[in-house]
Amino acid sequence: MLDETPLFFENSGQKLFGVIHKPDNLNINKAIVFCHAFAEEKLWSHRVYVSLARSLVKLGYLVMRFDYRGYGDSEGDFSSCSITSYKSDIQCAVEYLRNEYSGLTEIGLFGHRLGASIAVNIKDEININGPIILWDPITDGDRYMQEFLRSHLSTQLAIYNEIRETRDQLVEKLEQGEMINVEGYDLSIQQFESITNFNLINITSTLSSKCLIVQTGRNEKPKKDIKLLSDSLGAELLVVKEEPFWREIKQFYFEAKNMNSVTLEWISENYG
Amino acid sequence: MTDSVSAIRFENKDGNMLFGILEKPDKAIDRSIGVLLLSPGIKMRVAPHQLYNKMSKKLTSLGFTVFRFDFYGLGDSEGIVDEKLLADLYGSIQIGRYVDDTKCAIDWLSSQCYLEKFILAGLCGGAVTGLLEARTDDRVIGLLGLGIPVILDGSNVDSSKYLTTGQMDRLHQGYINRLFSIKSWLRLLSFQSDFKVIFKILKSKLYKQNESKTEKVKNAPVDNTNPFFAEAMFDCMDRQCKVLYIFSGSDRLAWEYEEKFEKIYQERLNGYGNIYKSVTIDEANHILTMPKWQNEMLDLSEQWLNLHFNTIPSVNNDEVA
Repeated sequence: MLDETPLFFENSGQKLFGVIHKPDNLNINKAIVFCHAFAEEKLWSHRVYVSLARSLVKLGYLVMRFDYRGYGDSEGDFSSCSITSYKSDIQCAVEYLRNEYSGLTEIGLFGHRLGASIAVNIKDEININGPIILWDPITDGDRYMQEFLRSHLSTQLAIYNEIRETRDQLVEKLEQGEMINVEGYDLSIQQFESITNFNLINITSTLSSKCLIVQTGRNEKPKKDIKLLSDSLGAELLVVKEEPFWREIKQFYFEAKNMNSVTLEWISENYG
Repeated sequence: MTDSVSAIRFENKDGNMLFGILEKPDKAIDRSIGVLLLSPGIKMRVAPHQLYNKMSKKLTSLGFTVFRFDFYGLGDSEGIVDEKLLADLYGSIQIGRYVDDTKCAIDWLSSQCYLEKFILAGLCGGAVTGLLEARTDDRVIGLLGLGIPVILDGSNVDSSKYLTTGQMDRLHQGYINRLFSIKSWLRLLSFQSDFKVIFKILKSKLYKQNESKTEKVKNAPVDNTNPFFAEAMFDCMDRQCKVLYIFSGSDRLAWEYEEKFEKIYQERLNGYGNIYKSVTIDEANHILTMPKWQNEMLDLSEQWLNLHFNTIPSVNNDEVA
């Protein structure tokens, strides 16, 4: 039986839900905190996270997965979320681990899509010294939000057989202080702007720990923005084939086999 | 969230540890009835856009103990799902893959929370699982299903073959609207469109009269309807288990339910009086994304719960774990 414990911890008076995956070893000295993706991408990729966590445990890592406020089983409303609240929640999860497991000498971060972007953005603020693993990081928040709004248009088409509100009109609504509902999520101007203004293209940070970026693609060619990010971080960049499991596809994605495999191999080589 | 919310782990009959969240009402309004929110496919115990969290909040405020948990191989629970395609996973759920897990959850709630009566609620696959479990479990006194599928999914199923009239009408209107769209023509000419579906719709419109005559003559019995569905429904209702099914107006499952079950058994269903009710929320989509649809669903659920399960609040609840 796996050693996995569900728990609640607090940030700013609100409870956050998390799961600790414990390895067999008696002296646990290394851990990785998982930072999840945005909105429904988080749910579609949930089992992939669980599978990666279970694989990392076999390498001796303690893994902590948790839900940001406004997500999963944590308290809070999605409409109140922002990049700031996501960062604060990650910081809180890392602090929780440091307090609960005093033997930890190495803490790393793993993130997927927007979770990866936030992880790399916060690493210096919380003194991350373990591996930083970024799967398909979002480098351009503006473009990402435009894509998110596009799914609102798809819903309109499906329901009304026509587009009743364009993306510009939706943004206008947001600017007027109205909430807009995308895929069941109430998006506020606060969250929309915080992600729109968030980009990793010009990041200049140098890392105190090693970083791996895994990009999915049909061929081995890295995307320009990911290559730029990788260069500026001094990270290793690997491109693997994988279906876009963070949205609805035909396959049931129990695990991202190729991403898992290169990640575990890289960790073993660099932190073994 | 208060202390009345707790994270739970319990074992299923194969020894897999399942994860769940238990939410209890205030003792003063406790109706001593447990509601299990059964996971819809792979969206685990929170459901799309946290729909189940919203339902839990409402249900606990009405005095119900709510338990949401992950079936084996999904969410945070242990276990393996071997199916490679979602359609196959959904198909296996529709014939009862998670009935045993549901029974284990009811057993756990009975022994740990001293509850004896249960309502099984869920969206899509969760609703079917509830129905199949309720068929043989007398502890289940109500079924609250959202967008329950009456058909069987599977990678070997050609969905275009089983389009209902409602689906065809809607798709037909959609194609007409797109006649003047360059993008749609590009999609068609680049072979990205589903030609099987387009052909079927055009054929049905061109030969509507003849086809209906042919269908009457042939009375083709072979279709993709879940063979367990009707039997399970009537078994449940025969033992007075109350049923509320809520459908979404823009969801193919609503048309499928109407054409493949409700119309066929209309007379028999009428005999059950208020034991059975089905309603459709106009325009809503399958996962009820818009708040107004969610609110309508919650209001309908509340009315139904108050009609059938308005038990006297229990104050003697000290033994509850």
